[in-house]
Amino acid sequence: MSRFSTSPGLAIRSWPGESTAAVFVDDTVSTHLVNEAAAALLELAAVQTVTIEEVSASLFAAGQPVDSSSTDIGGDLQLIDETIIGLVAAGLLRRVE
Amino acid sequence: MTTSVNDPLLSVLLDPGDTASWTGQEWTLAFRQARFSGLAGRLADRLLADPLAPKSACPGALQSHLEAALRVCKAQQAEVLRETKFLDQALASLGAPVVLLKGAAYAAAKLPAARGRVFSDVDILVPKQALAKAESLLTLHGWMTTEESEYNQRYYRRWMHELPPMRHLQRGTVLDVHHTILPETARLRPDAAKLIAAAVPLAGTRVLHVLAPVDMVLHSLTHLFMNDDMTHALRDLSDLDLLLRAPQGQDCTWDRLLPRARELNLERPLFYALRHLRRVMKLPVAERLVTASAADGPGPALGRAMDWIWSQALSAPIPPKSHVARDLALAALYVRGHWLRMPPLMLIQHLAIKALGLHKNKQGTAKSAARDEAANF
Amino acid sequence: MTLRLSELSLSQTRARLSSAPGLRLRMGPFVAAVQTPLPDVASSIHLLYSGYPLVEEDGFVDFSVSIRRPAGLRRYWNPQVTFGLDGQEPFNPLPGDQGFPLLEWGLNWCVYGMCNQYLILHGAVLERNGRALILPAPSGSGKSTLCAALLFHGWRLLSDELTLICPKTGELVPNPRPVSLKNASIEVISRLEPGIRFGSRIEETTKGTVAHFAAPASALALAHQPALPGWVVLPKYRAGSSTLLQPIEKARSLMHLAENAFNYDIFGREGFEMLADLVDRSDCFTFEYSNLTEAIDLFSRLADGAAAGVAT
Repeated sequence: MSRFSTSPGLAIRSWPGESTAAVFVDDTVSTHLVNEAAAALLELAAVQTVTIEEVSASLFAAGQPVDSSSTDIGGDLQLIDETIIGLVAAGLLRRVE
Repeated sequence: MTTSVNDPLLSVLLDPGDTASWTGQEWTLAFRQARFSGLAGRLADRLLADPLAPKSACPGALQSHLEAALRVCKAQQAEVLRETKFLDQALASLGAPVVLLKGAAYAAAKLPAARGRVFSDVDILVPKQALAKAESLLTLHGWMTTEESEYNQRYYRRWMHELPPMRHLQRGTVLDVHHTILPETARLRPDAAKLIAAAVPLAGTRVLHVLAPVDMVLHSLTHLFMNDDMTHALRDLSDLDLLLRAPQGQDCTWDRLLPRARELNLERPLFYALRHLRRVMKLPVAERLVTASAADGPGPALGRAMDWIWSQALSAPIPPKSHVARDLALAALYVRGHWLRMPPLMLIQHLAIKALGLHKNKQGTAKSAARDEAANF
Repeated sequence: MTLRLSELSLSQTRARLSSAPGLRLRMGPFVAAVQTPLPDVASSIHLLYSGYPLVEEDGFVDFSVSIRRPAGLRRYWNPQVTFGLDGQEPFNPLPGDQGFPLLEWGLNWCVYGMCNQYLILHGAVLERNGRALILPAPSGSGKSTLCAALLFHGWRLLSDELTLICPKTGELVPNPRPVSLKNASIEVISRLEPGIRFGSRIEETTKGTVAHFAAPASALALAHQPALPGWVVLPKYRAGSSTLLQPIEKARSLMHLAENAFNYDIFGREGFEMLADLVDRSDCFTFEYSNLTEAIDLFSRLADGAAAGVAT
C-alpha cells in the first residue's frame, strides 16, 4: 500500500469559498493552480504521510465529499487516485517507500 | 566628470571602510564598473553581507541595487545546488568520480569564493574513459546536446576538452562535461588523471567530488589565464583571490602551489596569476614564492607585452573612457587563447570559418532578441 | 524647491544632453543620466520629460544611458540609433527616427531587467483613494488605452507598463513615465482628451505607429507616494463587446500575476508569498469592454465602493 507525502518546501494558499488554490514548490521553483480536491488532499499529506484510503476517509469525515455526484465509495476512491497521480506527475506529491 | 579616486570599484572592494568621503559620483562609478564586469553581486556581498568587511557609507539607492544583486545570486546559487543533486542522481551508476568545477564546486563546498557570485552553467570533470557512458546517462535523464552547427560539434568533440554544452530539456539548465582542463591539442598538457585522483568526495552525495584545494586554485588560474573568453576576467580574478584568502587549508595550499603547478605543467599560468593578484587585488604573497615563480615567467619582451594586455583585460573600465585599448587587448588574448589550444594550421582554418560567419552568429541574434523583447510593449 | 526640466530652455536641455555627465532626472524611484547629441531626441525629451525633477551633480545615478548614432559609414545614407548603457550597447540599432521610443524601451529594459529590488509585473497601475488598480496584461489587451483614459478621470498614474511591488511593505511603487500609445489608440485618446500634447508620431516601428504623451504633473508631484493594494483587473478589449466586470478567484488571479511577472523566478518563494498577499488584499476581476466611456464610469463606481458585478 503506497504512502504519499507532499514535496518538501510546499506552500499552499487558498481562500474561503473558492474552488481553486495556488501551490508553490521550492524544489522545482514552480507554481501551480489546483482544484479543491487536490488542495484538501495536499493539506492532509503535508501533515503526515497518507494512503488513498486515509485521504478518502478524512475528506468524508470532514463533511467534504470529493465528488458529490458519485454514489459509491469506489468512484470517490478512483477520483482520489487520479488526483494523486496528477499531483505526483506535477511534482507536488511524492510516493514514500 | 572627474573623481579623485582612481579606480572606485577596486578601492571599495579592497577597503570598504575607506569610503567616508565619497560622493554620489564615486558610488555611481563603482556600481557602473561592477555592472560592466559582472561584479555587482560580489560588491553587494562585500558591502552588505560580509561580516568581516568594515562598514561603509553606501547610499540608500545603491543599497537597493545591491540587495537586488544578492537576491539574484541567492536564486542562482539555489538553482546550481539543485542541479548538483540531479547530477548526483543521474550519474550515480557511472562507476567513476564526477568532479564539480568552478562555481558549482564553490557553492557545493560552501567556500567563500561562492559569495556574491553569479552562476550559470555547471561544469564537471570525468575521466576520459567514462565520457561516453556519462553522456548516455545524462541523455537518459533529460540532458540534450545543444550545439547545432556540425562544424562546432566536430570542433568540440575532436579538439576541445569537453563535450558540446548539454541543456536539460525540462529545466533549461546548461551542463559542460570536461575530460581534462585544457584541450588535448594545447601546448600545456596537465594530467587530468592526477587531478581526479586527488579529488575530494563531497559529503552527502554518491559520486560527486571537488578538486583538492591546491588543484582548485590551479584550475581557476589556468581557466583565467589560458582561456579565450575574457569578458569576465576581473570576476574570475576576484574568485581566485577569495580562494587564496580562504582560511581553510591555507598554509598547505601555499606550500604546495608551486610544486604541484610544476608537476601539472601549469607553472606559466601560476606566474601570471601571482603577478596580477598582487598587482590588482593586493593579495599578500610570500617573497620566496614570488622569487621562485619568477623563473617560470616569459622573457622580457613578451613579458612587457603580456603585462600590458593583462592590465587591460583585468580592468573594469570607467566610462566614458575609450574601450579601444581594452578591445585590442582582448582581441590579442582571444587569438593567444586559441594559439595555446590549437596547432597553427588548424587555428587559421578555425578563425577563418568563424570570420566568414559560416558558424551561427549567436551574438547578433541575442542582441536582436533583447531589443525586440524590450520593444514588446 | 526642486527645479524641474520644464524650467530649463530647450537649448539648456540640449547642452546638458550633449556632454558628460548628461541630463540627470529623477524618474520615480530611479535617477537616470541621459546623453544624446541628436536634436530630435533632445526635443522629445524636453517635451515629454518636462515634469521630472533635475538631480544635483553629486547624487547617485541608477542608469547612465545614451542614444547615439552607431559608428560607421551608414550614418550618412541610412542613419540609425543605438541605445547605450554603461558604455555597452545591449541591442541592435533601430531606424534613425526611433530615438525617443528606443530611449523609453531601453529605460524599461533597465528597470525590468536589473531592478530586482522590486517584484516587477508587466501591467499598468493607477491609484485612487490610496488604493492601487493593477491591470496586468501583455500587449494587445487594451490595457494601455484603458490606462490612458483612466488617468484623466480621477486616477493617478503610477505606471502604464511596469508594476513595481516592494518586498518589504507590499506597496505599489510609482514609476511614472511618458504614456505610449499605438495605432488606433492614439486617435481614440486624442478624441477623448483633445487637450493632450503628444510627442512626434513615429511610424513603421515593429509595433506600428507609436506616440507618447507626458505623465500628468499631478502624477509626478506624487511620484514618491506608494499605494496599497486595491484591485487586480485583467482587461480585455473586444470590439463590440459590452462592458463586463466579473469577479475571479484569487488563486487564479495569483497565477495570472505570476505569469505576467518579469522576475518571478528570481524571487522564488518570496515572490509567491508577495503575490498571495497582494491578491489577498485586493478585489480581483476580469474585465471586457469596447466602450471607453462606459469603462471609465464603471471604474469610478468601483473606486467608490459600489457593488462590483456585471455591468452593461
